[in-house]
Amino acid sequence: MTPQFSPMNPNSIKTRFTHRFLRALKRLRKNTKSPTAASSPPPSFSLRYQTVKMAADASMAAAVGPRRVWSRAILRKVRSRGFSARRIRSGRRSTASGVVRRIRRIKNGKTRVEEKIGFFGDDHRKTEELRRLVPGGEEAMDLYSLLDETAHYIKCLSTQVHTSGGLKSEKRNFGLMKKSQ
Amino acid sequence: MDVEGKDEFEQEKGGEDLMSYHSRNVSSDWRFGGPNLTNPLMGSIPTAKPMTVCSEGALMESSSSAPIMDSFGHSVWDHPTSTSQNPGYCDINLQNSATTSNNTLGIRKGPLAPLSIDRTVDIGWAPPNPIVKGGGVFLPNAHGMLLPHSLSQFPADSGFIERAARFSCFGRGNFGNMVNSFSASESMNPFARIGPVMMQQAQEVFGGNGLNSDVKMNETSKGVSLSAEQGATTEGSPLKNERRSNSFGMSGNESDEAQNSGADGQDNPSSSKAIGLKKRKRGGGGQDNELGQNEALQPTGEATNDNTEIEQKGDLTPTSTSNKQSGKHGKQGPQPSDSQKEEYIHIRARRGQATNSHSLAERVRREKISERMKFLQDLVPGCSKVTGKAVMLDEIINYVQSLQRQVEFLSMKLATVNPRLDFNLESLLTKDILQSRAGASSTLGYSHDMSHMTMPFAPLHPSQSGVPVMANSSDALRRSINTQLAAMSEGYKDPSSQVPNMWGEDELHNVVQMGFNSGSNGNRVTAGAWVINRDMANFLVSNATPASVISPLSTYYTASPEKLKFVTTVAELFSRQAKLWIEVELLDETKMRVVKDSGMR
Repeated sequence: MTPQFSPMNPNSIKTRFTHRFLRALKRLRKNTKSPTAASSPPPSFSLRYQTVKMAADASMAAAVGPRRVWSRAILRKVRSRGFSARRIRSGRRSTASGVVRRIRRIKNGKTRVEEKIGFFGDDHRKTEELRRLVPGGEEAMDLYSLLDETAHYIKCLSTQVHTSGGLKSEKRNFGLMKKSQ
Repeated sequence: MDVEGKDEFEQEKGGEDLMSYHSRNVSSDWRFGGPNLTNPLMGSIPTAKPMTVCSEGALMESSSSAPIMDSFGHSVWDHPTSTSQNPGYCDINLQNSATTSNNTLGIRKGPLAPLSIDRTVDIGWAPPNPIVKGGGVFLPNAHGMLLPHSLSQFPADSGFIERAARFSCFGRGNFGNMVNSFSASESMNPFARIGPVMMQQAQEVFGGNGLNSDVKMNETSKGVSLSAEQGATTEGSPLKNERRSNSFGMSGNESDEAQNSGADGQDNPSSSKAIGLKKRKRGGGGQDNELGQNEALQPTGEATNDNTEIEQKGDLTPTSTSNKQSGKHGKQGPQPSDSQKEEYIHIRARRGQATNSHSLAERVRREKISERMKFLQDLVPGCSKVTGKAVMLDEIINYVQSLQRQVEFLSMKLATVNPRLDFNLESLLTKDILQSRAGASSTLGYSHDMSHMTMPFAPLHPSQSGVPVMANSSDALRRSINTQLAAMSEGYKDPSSQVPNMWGEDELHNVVQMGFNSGSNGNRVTAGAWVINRDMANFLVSNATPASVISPLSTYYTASPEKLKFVTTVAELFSRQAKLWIEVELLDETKMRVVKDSGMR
């Protein structure tokens, strides 16, 4: 597959994300390569892949910037991750979201008055679930902003997927070459 | 004067009576405005009751404005605390709009551009101080947004002016909600007159509510001018005349404004607000500015709901009220004295709709949310046919989950091959082109609801080869592939990548055919193009440990024993077979074909 260079918007989220992601991956690769194979076993696959996933999310959030609630939430988690290395996954769900939920509930005590009219029942459950899914969704109080964040998040996730897939294919090609050697 | 307008509002409000209105104004206004409201207003508005701006309006326009103001104030005062609570709801918009301009009080039609408020309308509001207060309630933050615009639809009589003032009080916040419907052209004129006064009052009012500094500044200036305004009816009258003339011409204007608001609504709130505000401004520039500022002062904290209500009212009946408004404008004409007859941004309830303030606000919110849902429908593939919020939410949730899993899966793959590759950024970026070819690969890892998955697995190319004999390994591979496909290719259709069918391998054929034959194993996979591409195969091969393969893969589908078993089988199979790579493409629900066979051994 000869690479064809299509014009890419230098400021698009895709480009920014790609740059960051590649840098992160390079860094990861260096980190994993630097310890000699004999010294330590390569990091377990699960750890590696979680790291890559975290890098992908972090790079996407960084590419978006703090403009969005979800990107801010991811950046917060990334930073907190520095403090506790393994809290990537858990931190995502427990600490921040727990606190935010509490705050939200208090705040929502009054705002819910208006919201309740239309959003009882299944809608509530679904919105709760959506809040859990979308990073930072816990803080987005009303449904409108939550949907807004969700739309942007979906867009960025698709970007991430496409870019990673492309990267993967690229790797595949390289990998093939390697294998054939 | 504003009989028509009043009637409309009364209809909207469910007939809030004037009495209650006034009394409520007095009491409720101060709820919002707090001391600030009272002080500046009291001094500035000679007629106003010391208590509140609204009361002032009440004084000014007890009869005519009351109903209108009731309609506004009612919603406003009903949610005295809501403004603070819904800062996000309207404040954002207001802030956006506020930044746009203090002067333009245009209030845009609600749902799309929540806080676009025609400043010009607000400007007209100055005089009715009581209205300002009410407006303040509505508009928490919109500094620039002046509420009164929402009252644009008020007839130019003093009553409207009052209301406009009230709304200008509210104005900062949800002017956007307040909407274009306040086809302010009419209201603008009256508001223009009232504007300066109101604006000041509103500003002062808002000042108490922590309005923007701009507003505060306006307040102070307005406060001074407020009193001046009061006396300067002559000043107002020319404006009013201007506005009236505009308004007269406006039934067309109303529609224009409504259109503007509608169009604006679709823009970003800030931009739309700005536009709406500017559009609203007709005639009476200077005063309008002042008025707009006053209106911007509208109480910040007021309930967004109120704002929305106001907007809604305006939105709701732009057309229906256009006629009325023209009539009202006519009324306004003969009543030049009242500087308060500025354009109000009225939120009118549509005919046949509940005019309860709660329901109006609710309606605005619903409209906004439905707009968002439509947008999301475009984003989420395959949701064009889905209607209803619950189902749509389900789809959205599933899609987000699938995307997240995909990212996970891809990162997993990248993690495996990471150490071996050098990245070529450019080629990577151009992968998009290639990606379109292998677009299906991205669908891997979608873990959609299993219910969505249908296992087509019809023979890919029946013509290609006869149904091969199934070797055990092939069988296992097929099953595993099927399983994986079923598991991983979830519900979102991707446009089938038109990868040419290149398989010539017998094994592949076998696999494929068997996959098809076993398609009826109950797994349902949504139609789409799935590819277990080389990466996947490579990945599986390189990570020959079944456990390492299964654990990540298990995230992509609801783990079930047979699936895990199949995954294991695949891993083992691959490792044993030394890299039998297969790309399978799912053409549609009934066909699957092997896209490419690596042929590597």
